[in-house]
Amino acid sequence: MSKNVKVNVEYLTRVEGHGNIVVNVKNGKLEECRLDIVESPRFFEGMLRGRSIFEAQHITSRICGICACGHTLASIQAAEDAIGFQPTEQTIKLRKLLLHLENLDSHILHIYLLVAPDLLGVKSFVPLIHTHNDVVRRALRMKKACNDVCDILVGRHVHPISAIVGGFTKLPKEKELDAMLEILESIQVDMAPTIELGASLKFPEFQRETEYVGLVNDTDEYPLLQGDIGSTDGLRMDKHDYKKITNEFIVPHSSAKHTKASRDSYMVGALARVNLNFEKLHPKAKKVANAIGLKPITANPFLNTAAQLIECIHSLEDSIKILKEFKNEGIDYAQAITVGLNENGQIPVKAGKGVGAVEVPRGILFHEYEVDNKGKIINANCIIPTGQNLNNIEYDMKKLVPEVLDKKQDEITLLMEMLVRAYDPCISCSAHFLDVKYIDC
Amino acid sequence: MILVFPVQHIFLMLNTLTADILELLKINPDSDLIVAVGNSFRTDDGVGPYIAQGLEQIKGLKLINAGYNPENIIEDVIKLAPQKILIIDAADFRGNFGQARIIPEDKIPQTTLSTHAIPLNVISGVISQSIKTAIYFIGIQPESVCLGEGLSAEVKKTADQIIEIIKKSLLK
Repeated sequence: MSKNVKVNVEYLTRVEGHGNIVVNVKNGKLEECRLDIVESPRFFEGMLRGRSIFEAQHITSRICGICACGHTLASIQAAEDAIGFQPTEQTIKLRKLLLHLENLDSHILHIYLLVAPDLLGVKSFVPLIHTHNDVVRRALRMKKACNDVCDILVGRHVHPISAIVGGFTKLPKEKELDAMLEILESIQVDMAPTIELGASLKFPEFQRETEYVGLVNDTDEYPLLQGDIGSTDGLRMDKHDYKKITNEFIVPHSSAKHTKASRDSYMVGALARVNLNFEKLHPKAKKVANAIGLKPITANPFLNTAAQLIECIHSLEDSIKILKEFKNEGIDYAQAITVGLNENGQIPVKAGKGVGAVEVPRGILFHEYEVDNKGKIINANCIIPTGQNLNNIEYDMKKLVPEVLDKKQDEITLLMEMLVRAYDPCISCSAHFLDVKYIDC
Repeated sequence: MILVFPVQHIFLMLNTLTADILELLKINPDSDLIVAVGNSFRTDDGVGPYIAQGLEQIKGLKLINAGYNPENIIEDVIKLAPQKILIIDAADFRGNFGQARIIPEDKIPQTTLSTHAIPLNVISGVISQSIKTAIYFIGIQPESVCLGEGLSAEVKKTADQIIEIIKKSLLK
């Protein structure tokens, strides 16, 4: 047994941003166990102050190059909520499609390029080019397909242009619906070997019960864009009460705040969503989940990757369903809207507060804006999924380390890295810095 | 995408295109492919797309402007199955602004893979594992890759030279 273990991973690779894993075991006793977040603050909330809600989505989209659509949609939802604007059913459906595309794109990248190397015993996906070239090509082909559909739908594969407060500036034409359908059906072909690959991966055995948080609803729809906030511990509250869930607090080793709800920590993301809403998954997704033995409540965080695979199937199938419905029912092109900064008062604006709560690839994302009667943002708050997961990751680490002390130091280090990577963290986006109060002396 | 080189690969050269680069710029439209890489909203990082724009009107020339997502062109390149692939991108090798260099494939830094970027050598690796082809990189030293449009004078001069040389090579 390794009685003394010292792990210092600076920086963790195959994640976005910079985080360090610190573990120190002395004479078999765990003395230190941390995930240091060393990213600088981003100041996006500060940037939003004084800006119009009609440009907020373009600003906040830049918080993340992967969750750009998610930030766009959370931003739009918060803005519309603040001014009391109700989007049309068509708009909501198109936004759901956009969210599916981003989840699919992000999950594919994480499963294939960031996690699979660990499970296939290589240090990165670069060696896979030589040993599993077809797999790498498939991953990049699927990712490109998502990018291409996004490009058609919102004008760009990242940082969407046409999704705005009030609706869409451009609505897909008949031939664009056909093009999107054709591309997504091509992904269906690649999904079969993806499922095979996912089913063949052996994830580390580890269990730690925790609270899983995500959107919930009373319909039969797997909630990604709309709903209340719920948890596996039975919490349920309106999205406007999100701070009662997040309860952010500061820890000295992280420039991202930690969170907790009913317990010491909670988890958000694909595993949380599957645990909360398993029965609402597309039948094909549920079938695969059953085949690989993933069922609620799964308490192994390494299986977040498996949950992402399940969600890939769900998002792909639901995207195709949405597009086919548009093909059959048609699109009301009169709903296309060009607002600009709302100079012409096209959308009625009033002062208020609004919240956006959207499920993005790494979990539930919150945007809250307070706006004046001209639609200018007075205050903004953005709480990113990875920030909500950091505390849970550390509790996982603290449970896992004593269980694997019989392993070699290198193996322990790798397991710690794999654990953090399983959460698919977007570390730089999670930075949520201190509320600095200046005191005159 | 911009390639950034570690200090040990510094070689100072004059801003003229060397004989080996001129040789590479001889393009056979039947068998060769030009791939331009870069972000036009990051000043000189847009040198690849600028060159692509200068060549896009040439009929029969196999040209892909990969922009800032070169990983998305892999399948198109494999379908074309060119004998030679010439990738043109901005590359920070601490040279003179606008200087062009042939970058050996093994000298392209293996930038850490994150969720936001896939290194260029990975893309070339996937292609060369899939088809028999020779891949060459021409890197052009940027003056700036700050946010903004348009190229700096020295980089534009080199880009214009490359466009003209390729055009002339096709006329022969």
